[in-house]
Amino acid sequence: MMLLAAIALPALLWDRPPETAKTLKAAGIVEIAVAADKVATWKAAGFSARALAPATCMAVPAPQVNMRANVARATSSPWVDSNSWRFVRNPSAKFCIDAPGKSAALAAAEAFAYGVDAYIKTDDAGVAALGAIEGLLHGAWSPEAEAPVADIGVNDDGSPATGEMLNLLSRRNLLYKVVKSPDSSLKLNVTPDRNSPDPSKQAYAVRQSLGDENRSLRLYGSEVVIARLTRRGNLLRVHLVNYSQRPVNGLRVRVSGTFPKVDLRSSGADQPKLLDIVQSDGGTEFTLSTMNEYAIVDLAPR
Amino acid sequence: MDRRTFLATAAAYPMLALPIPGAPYAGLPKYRKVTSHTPPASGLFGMPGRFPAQVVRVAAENSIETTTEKINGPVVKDMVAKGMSELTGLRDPRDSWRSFFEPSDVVGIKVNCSGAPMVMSSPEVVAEIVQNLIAIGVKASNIWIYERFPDQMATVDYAKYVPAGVHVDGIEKTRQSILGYDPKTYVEVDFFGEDDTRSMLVRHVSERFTKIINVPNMKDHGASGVTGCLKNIAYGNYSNVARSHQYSKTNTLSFIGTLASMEPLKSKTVLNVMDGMRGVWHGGPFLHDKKFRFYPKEMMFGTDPVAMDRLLLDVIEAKRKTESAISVWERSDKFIHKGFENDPNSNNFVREPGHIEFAGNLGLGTYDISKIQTKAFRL
Repeated sequence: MMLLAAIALPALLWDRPPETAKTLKAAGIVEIAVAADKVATWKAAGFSARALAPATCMAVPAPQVNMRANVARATSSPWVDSNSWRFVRNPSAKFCIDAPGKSAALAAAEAFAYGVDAYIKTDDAGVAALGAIEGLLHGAWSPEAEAPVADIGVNDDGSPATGEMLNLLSRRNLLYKVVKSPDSSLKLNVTPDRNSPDPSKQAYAVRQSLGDENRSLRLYGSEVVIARLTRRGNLLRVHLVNYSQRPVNGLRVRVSGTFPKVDLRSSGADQPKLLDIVQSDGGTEFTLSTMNEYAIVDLAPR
Repeated sequence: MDRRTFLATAAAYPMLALPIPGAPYAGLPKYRKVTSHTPPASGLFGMPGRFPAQVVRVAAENSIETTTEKINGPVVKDMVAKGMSELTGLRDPRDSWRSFFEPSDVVGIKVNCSGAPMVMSSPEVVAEIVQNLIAIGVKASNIWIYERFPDQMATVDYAKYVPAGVHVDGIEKTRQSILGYDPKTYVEVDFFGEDDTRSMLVRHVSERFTKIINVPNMKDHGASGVTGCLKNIAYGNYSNVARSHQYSKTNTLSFIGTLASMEPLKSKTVLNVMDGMRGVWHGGPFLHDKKFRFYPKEMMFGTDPVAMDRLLLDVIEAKRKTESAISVWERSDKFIHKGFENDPNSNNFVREPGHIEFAGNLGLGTYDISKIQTKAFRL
């Protein structure tokens, strides 16, 4: 199983002068990335500062739900713009995300969930949003690496078509990892047909081949939340990212395995409760009363 | 419910064994029913209940003034009294209600507000039901008028018609929220590749109510052909059901009966009072245009939802025939096109009025018209 190295927390990409330190501190920002010659100054001001040349970054869009009301489509499902597939495809890359306003917090949550090295450029509203979520990320961060839990191995040829396939698997909460050759430890290995005219159908065929009953994770009650499942020793962690700008009122989660101990941490002022925790049929289920931008659920054996 | 109970019961409901032997159903979705509830040993109440294959119909010309839409409360009172007495054979209406309910019961009244505010479970009818329950000792605070969507209910304002203390509750406080549903009682099925494959039962049904009164209307339905007892008690009590339709295909044929036959819904639904003061003959369950409203001016009473809906089929078909509209049984693709809401000779889906017979085959009641005993009265 691939292990991720423990990485830094998502950082605010900041090119304003050190005089803005007070504003950042008031917002709760600690992690920043600045020009190399400014690192010492910012460190002296009490920040966890690191150097970044934006040119070394892979630019990716801000995560969001794009309603696209004027675009005809086969289903009424919301259009989730997620970077998760890009993160899985390029786990070692540095990612720069231009995320204005509230989407800064979402960008940080998404990057943290996938354990990637991410730098977020934002505006004043975004600084506040980012600062508000940073405390949660600090509290959840561990120097020990988290290993992703996957059911499916995808032989990725790097093509845009396969990228779309990965995107659709992510959006449907089908847990996968990129493999160079079939991995016998996984439940299913697939090689996407890059010439397939319908990636959606192909993704559904993968789901059917796996079988819903064999999925390590299921979500019920929302189409705008994407989950990532990781393992550290015998502890399981569910990262839940809500891509919409509104809370989801009630999200049911099912994870394979019996975990009597379930702990929740969440972003947002309105702290959710864990409801209806059940161990049944080889799985553990629980409901989050509210799903803000980001929640982390840690599961442990008794 | 402890874990052992849950597992035992879940195991007792494996993948639903469909189709029914001998029935001409093929290619049905695979349903998995998960519930910890079992039917009571007596089997006295529920669907088809105490009076299988029996329906009482009570009509009254002056039950509603169609120019003003005003419902005549005293006439409704007489209709309900007649219907309940004839159903139970008990002359005193209070005795007829007592034969179904005890003072200790917590009663859910499942209304239908999808056509509100122009066609819905009339507040006057619901109020009369509430008055009868209170008259036999059921506490107002143990009576719950409920529907899935609060915004639809709000247009009716039932609270104005019933005594203080009676609850009026919309289940989905925000659309698609699952918090009002029981995550341990659900039907799981993948219709079209949707990722959320669970439809959960209203939590009140599994955890609060001891009995349910179903109060549907007489309506045409763009997917299921008609919507009466079965559709109201099934789709109206579960989350995430709209997913059963896509393009011209609807799975109402098998989904309605499957949902309705789940415990504890099946056992707790003890009485059906179909409110036909107003009806919808095309475009249902909503009322897109007043021209599709009509006035059957009748009510049906029974415990057998299949028998009642079988009669409803004839009501809607007869009205559509009068209006020169295509049959609810019409399955040709040529009639499926946009604008069906305003064109009685077009469909949105290939409709499935066969859902009523299907539900009958699941044990919910009697579909064969020759076996249904109907008592009809006109006041």
